[in-house]
Amino acid sequence: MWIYEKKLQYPVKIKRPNPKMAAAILSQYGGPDGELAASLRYLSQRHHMPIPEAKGMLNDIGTEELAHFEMVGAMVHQLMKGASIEEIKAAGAESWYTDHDRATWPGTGTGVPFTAAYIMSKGDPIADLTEDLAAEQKARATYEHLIDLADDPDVIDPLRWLREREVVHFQRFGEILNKLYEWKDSKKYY
Amino acid sequence: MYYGYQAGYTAPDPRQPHMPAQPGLMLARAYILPQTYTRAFSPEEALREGTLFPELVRPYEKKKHQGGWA
Repeated sequence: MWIYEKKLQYPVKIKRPNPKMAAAILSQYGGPDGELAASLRYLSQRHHMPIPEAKGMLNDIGTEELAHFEMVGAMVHQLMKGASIEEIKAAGAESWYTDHDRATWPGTGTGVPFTAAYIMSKGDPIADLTEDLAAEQKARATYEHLIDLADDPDVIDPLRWLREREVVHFQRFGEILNKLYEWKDSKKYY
Repeated sequence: MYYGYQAGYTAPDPRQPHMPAQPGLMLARAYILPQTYTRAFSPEEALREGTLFPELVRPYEKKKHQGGWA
């Protein structure tokens, strides 16, 4: 069960269309280390966690990733909205325009559709939390690559903010991994 | 990377139990230092920074030129 708030977690106000940047950022929407993959990974893994702290953390962070999915979607939309056919052609985004006009779509800018093959839910809490730590690092690295590519401060600011959330999530998942090891060790004495 | 396999180096006896690198810590598992509460940003600062906690702020500096890591 979710409660929706009709606002973005952090504001996105991009004024200049840029189809090239939209295609790059789309990877964080429906790509291998994107927000949709993160959300579905955590919300799937939460069910088999043996301790309530792990269930709660995966549920909270999986929910927050949906809010990031929404933010990244808003960024892509604003970067495509108002782009002229000339700008789309100059950016090499003809195949996007052919299949989607200027629409946001869960895949990568090179047309690779989203797939559950990007994520795993292994059923082993320590293996799953170790994947989650790696996922946060890969998302952080992707945001850094996007910041390197971006020139517009209106684009860089939400990317900077989303990257910082990956750093925070890494810390939280690490604390949960410690607790899962404590839980595992405590089982040996019963 | 130099691992110190120089002449006269004696490899640890694999039949002996491995000593942990730090007392109380185990090999072959990951550790993250648990965060303890010290101080918090104001709500406005926290929204801007992306975290409530000053010690978790890790700004990224945009790469100016090609190549390299870090």
